[in-house]
Amino acid sequence: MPMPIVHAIVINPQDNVATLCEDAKQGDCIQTDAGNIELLQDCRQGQKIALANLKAGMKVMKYNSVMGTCSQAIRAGEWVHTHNLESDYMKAEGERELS
Amino acid sequence: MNDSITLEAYLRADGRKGIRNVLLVISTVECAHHVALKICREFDDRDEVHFLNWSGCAPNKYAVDMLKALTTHPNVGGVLLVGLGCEGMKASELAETVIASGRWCESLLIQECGGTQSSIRKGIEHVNAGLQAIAQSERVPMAWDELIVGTICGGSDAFSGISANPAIGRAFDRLIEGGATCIFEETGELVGCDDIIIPRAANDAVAKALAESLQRASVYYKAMGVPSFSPGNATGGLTTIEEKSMGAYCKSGSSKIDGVIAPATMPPSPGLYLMDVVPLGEPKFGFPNINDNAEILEMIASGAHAILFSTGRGSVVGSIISPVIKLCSNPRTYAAMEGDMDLNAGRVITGEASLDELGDETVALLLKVVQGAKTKSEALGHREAVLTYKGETVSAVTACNSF
Repeated sequence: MPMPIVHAIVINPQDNVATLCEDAKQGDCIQTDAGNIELLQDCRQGQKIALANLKAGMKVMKYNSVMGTCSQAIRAGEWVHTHNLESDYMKAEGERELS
Repeated sequence: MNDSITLEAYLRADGRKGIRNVLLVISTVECAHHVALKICREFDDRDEVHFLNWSGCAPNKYAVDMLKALTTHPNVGGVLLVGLGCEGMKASELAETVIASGRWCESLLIQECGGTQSSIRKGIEHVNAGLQAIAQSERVPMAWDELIVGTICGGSDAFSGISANPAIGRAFDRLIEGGATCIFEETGELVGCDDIIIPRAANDAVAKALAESLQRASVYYKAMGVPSFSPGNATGGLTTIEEKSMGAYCKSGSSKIDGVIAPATMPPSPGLYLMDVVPLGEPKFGFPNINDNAEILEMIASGAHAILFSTGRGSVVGSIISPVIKLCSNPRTYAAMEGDMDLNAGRVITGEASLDELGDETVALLLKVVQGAKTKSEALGHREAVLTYKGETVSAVTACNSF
């Protein structure tokens, strides 16, 4: 059975994350203008998905702009949020639990 | 776009033109709050009676400037000031400003009016007289270059920076092209945007002012210990303040930036302005603004006739004096809270509309509101308004006075 397809938006071709348009499940095929990628965990709409393997210390790019630094390695298809991405300016108060 | 945007603007004696005809009731100290509120509640069925409470006793330059600007706003036809009598903030000083502007004005002090009950009775009489007086306001045509529009985002989510905010940016570009004045705000939500925002300055003086404003915001919020970022932003998919900032930045569109203004300062000529809400110097009196409503009121004090408000999580607020138009970034939030939202910008996320189309729809909707159509928050009676103490703010730096 083919996996469900969920659309995600890549704002700029230089970006290394995409924004999920709908809630999605582990294994879903995430379709973006930058190609398709398999989602590695359940994720809610609006969350960011890595489009490539990112090493700790690498910058996360969205809007062709730096969103912060990876605090740990992130695999392509993995959820990117406060547990693995930190501000270069100030840490944000927010949820840290997984969805 | 030299055509009139409405034929029925309210002409004030000072020459300014409004799109609403508000009678503003202000308590000039918390001790007068109850009496002023009781007076207003008598007019619950009247859209034009709005209430603002200044809670403090001692005056503060920022708060006095805000009150003077709000009471002489073009959407305001008349003002009733309700004081206790012994407070530091003097209703009489405010009344002088309102009267000098040619607007209807009355003030009453509870200690001189025989206490609570007689003050409420007297206040109701005043409001009835005021409503009759402002109903006589002359109606005149108004052009695009007489319109001021502010924008804010509140309850942002990851879609805000993809749909509603850039749609407002498109609308701003069209409005500025047509000769209007637009204000965007919150330097605390432009963190990391320096390299893209500073080159948009109309000249070197504005570029320097933008750089200083962004730098000062960064220092101030670090001293506060938390950025302008709520837990709901994170639930909505935003991770860092720089990510939220890039989304918020999109509201400013792509026009050149003509100046930096402080709250309660009027933009000197049409164009695009950044409102710097962060006070100068060491942090005083806490956060620059304690919530969205404080910031909306600052843009209104700078003359905004209407506010374009982008939300993803689902803010429901309106304001006093000027209508608030709600653009919802998230299609799911829109479906759940349609009764509070004026425009479904989430159609960009579902692929049903382009940003250009939404920009056009936003301008069209604004035009209807200018011509008297009620926004959802107006119709629901949302009149949130917050005014606090604040330290000294920036002096205006603009493109026109720097040559």
